[in-house]
Amino acid sequence: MSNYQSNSIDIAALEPIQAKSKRARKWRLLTKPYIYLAPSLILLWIWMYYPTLSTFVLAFQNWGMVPGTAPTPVGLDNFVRLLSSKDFGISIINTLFYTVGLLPFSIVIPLFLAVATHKMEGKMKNVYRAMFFIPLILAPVSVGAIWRWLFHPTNGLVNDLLLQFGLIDSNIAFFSDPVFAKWLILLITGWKMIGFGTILFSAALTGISKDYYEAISLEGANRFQQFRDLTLPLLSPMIFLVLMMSLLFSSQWTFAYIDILTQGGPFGTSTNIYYEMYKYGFSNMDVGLSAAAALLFFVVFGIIAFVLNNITKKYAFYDN
Amino acid sequence: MAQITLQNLKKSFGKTNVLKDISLEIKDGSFTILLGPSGCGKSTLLRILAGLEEESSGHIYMDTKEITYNEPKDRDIAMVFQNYALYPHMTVYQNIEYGLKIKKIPKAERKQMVTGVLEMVELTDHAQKRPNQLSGGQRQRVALARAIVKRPGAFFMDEPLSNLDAKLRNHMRQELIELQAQLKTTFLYVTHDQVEAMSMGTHIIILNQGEVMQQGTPKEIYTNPQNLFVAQFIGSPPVNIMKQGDYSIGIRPENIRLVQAFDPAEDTYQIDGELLSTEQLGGETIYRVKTEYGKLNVKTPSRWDSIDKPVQLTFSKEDVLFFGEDGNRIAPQYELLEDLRVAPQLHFA
Repeated sequence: MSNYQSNSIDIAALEPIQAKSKRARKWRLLTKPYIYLAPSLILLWIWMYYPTLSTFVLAFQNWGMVPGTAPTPVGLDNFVRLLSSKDFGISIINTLFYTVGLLPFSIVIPLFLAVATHKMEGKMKNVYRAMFFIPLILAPVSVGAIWRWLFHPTNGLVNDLLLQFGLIDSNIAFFSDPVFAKWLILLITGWKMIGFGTILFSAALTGISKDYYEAISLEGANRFQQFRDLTLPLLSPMIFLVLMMSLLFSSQWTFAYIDILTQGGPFGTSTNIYYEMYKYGFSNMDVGLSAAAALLFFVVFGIIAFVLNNITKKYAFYDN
Repeated sequence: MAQITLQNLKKSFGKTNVLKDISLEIKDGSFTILLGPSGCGKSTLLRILAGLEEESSGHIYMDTKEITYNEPKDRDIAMVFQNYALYPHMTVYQNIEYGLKIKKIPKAERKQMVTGVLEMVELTDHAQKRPNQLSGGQRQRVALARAIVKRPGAFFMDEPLSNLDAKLRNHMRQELIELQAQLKTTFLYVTHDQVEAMSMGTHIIILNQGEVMQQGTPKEIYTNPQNLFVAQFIGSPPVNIMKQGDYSIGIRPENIRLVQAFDPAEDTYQIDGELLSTEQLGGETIYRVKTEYGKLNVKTPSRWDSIDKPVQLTFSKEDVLFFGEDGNRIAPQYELLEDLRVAPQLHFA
């Protein structure tokens, strides 16, 4: 018997492949993915890419959105007007204020809450999580209405309590006060967004193997050391993700409360760049100015996103 | 170095009793194996001893000191986990060093200790790598190194080889035996693999449904099983059990001989059978034979010749294990074998 296996099939008897079916397969592989992608690509084009591109164009044009009129090119005029406007300067400073001010609510408090509730068992865990999560799913308009009622200048609960405890002598018009308005917008947005980070950090925590904690506790690490040396590094990708989202979206998150509670006032002290953009475009009908602001916003936040992304790649640890 | 003593240890989860009153001594410097099928409570027992889980009642002593209520870190043990639990964001070096850092050992001394252990497990060249850059066997060695560097009184290992492929597992088995011989420290090793237990252990404790079935040296366990469970659990293929009324008799596959024809001068007992299948393992051959007492396994040194279907089996009475109706081992009852005695007239006819 031979040690080698020989072919028992006559190769010549095999049917050759049809050139036609080979071409058909190639065509199929080329077209099919795009057919599946088409619906979302079309929607993305209509709602995202086309408006973005037209914003780029409108930033260099002047247009009042009056039907029948056409935009006229004005070069860099919109940017000059924008940068020399006093309101815009305030809005930039406020945007910074909101962006930095939201970080405790989007990262620090959620991180603490997620770690604190992680080891809980049974129903209470879900009760706690629901408590943090409910504000997040409430509609911003109703949240705005609730807080407006609480802080109402004449018959609000907060004024009432402060008076009863003798902390103030007369009612405060919180949302008309240059200092309170800004801080209240920040607090309300923060309160609403706590659940966002908490839920993401909680999810990330469940992905960390229990074995690591058993191993590290056998080595004698206390809870703080466990948090610093194990939890924090292993959560780093999620922390960077939430950080990025918080930085990029905080102007968006505050928008609804600015619009509902203060309309940017008093004297523009609570506005941010997002609200200014909206005001230029839809109150002042100055589309060019709005688009110029949007373009600046796009570039600045694009740079932030790019830098953060690189930092994440460098410092976040992915356990795969 | 430590002897671990367990006194009336019990554990229940809700109404399920996972460990039912376990009292044991794990001898100082022994390589003790906790062996049992999955769900027998062996891992729970190890975790209770490590302090990772709470016992329901009972006492644990390390030498003469009671450690029942000690924190895991205060028990002078090191543990190797099934999936190693190496900190993924730390290098090999940092993984090994971490515990020493927590203990506030000075840096120079730490370095000396870590380097020494790295050499011992032959990972010096990989010190700066992350766990995900290592092979399974290397990770295993890092996990060992992390345990060794603590110089604990006892090493606890929870199925540490089960994530390795067969070849590497054989290799690591030998390494662990050599390591234990070198360290002379108590090893407590949990496994469901009887080959690991037999080959590595100086002492084996067999658990089933939360109870100790038997404990002893590998030789005692194999040659002198105290009950049906142990007899059937140890050995591959498992012992052949034949029912004789309320009693069971057991014969290990390697103690049954396959003969061409009975020789009444030599063979006292006979079982006629029909060959069902043959398994060639290279070094040995396993035959599965259908008989009136059920299907029996026969293990012989390798035979490559083909055998006729009707086969004849024989054995010596010294190799037979007898079990009572409760499954416990009883003194030999050779009258139970009368049915199997070779009937000379059949062969002289």
